[in-house]
Amino acid sequence: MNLTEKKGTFDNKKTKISDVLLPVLTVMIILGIWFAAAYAYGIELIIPKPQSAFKELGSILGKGEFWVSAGNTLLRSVVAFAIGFCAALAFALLSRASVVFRKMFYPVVVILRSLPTISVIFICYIALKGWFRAVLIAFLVIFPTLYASFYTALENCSGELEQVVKVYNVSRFRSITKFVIPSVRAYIFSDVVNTMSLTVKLIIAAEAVTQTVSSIGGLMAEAKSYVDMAGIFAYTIVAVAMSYFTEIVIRLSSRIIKEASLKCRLR
Amino acid sequence: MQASLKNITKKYGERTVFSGLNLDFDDGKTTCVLGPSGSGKSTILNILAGLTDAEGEVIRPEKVSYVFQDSRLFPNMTVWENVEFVLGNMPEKEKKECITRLLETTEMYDRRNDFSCNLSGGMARRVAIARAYAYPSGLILMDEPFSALDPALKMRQIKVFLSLCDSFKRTCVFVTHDISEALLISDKIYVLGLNGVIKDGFYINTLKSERKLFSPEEEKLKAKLWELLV
Repeated sequence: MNLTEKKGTFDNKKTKISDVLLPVLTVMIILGIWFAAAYAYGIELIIPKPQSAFKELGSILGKGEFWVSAGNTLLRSVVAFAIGFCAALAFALLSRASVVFRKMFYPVVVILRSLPTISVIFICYIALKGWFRAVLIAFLVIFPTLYASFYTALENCSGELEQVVKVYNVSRFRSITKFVIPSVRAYIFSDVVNTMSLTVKLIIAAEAVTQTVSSIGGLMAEAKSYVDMAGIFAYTIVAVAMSYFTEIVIRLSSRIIKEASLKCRLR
Repeated sequence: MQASLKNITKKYGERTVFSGLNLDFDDGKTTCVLGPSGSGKSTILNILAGLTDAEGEVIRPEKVSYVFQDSRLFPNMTVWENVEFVLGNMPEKEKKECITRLLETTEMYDRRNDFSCNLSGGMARRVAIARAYAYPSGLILMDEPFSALDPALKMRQIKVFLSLCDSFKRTCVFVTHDISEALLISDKIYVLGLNGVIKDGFYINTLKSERKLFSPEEEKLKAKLWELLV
């Protein structure tokens, strides 16, 4: 191993250490601030100490009801995200293909984008019932964001390369599957990951306001009604962990799909 | 005669690029449109490709290949996929043979699994040329395919192109401002003035393979082209 290679290995190790250490340090700083605030306030009913919240979290994790609720919330998040993703992609493709459609659809996007989230929650709370209510609320909020990301990505992957598609008479289907969608995928990946985290947050908020049974939001609302601040903090930690978990799942599955498709594509 | 432009007039706003332009492109031959920058060379190709409208009669085959000046490969695709992308519903075996042959001729077969965004400018041009030849078109258009390359690489690319011309006998139209390039590649040269007027339909009779740079005949042709251009 020569000097340059040794330096490269050393730099690599340094990066890996900092990748782990720095986020841990940040979490510890946040816990420190929480701890200091709890001690300064001195009232457990308003700001519980971290150890109380983690103790509560331990007892929550031991209950079967919690896992059913967490599963429901996660499923709602995934369903809302999947519907939002497919609808946004379909409408963005239609908007890209037809100027008339884009102009007609524009007011819908503007209205959805400007709607206050709480109005959406209240309207759906009064008008709808059942498992799907929180899903619809999350869908209505994430749709304009995803639509805007898709549309911008589609605009960016057109232009000069579209002329190549036109000259070589490539069919629309082939162009969309082989060129447009892969280009869009690379462009919007970070937006998609962020929107998934947002969806989890929205689902929990909607469940809490609409007091949905067997859900993390519902359990949080119940903890609030008993002024169980340690419980609220514990559920908040659960919500953060769920967001992070979905983010990791998306990143990992995207990497696996990418590597598998690369292997298939080699000639 | 596979392709021609008859009495073509093209305007960009108030500016007239051509007025009454006539060009004929011989079947199976390479025709060059030689002209200074801004004389409308690329516009001629765009009219032939159907990317730009113009007044007059455009006769062209149904299928046209185009090597753009900036290669325009799809960055999310490998070299192989870039060529395959334009082949449509060709049977798989035929497709494989066609791509392999072209990538071997353009010396890009070893890089077939590389993404096009990782290729150098010269390699990207070769892939763009391979793609143009792979597409079963009746006319190949090339916009300054050897510009912005160092002299050694340019000669190498020209050699690749000439071997493609020999193997495939396709009708090609290419535009350039480089006289030496035009002389090395073309069977026929049109010289385009700055005002869009064609100054000559200039035929070259010697075989491409017999042409040599710096030979007395070559220097004579070059001098005549300089005279027409300036």
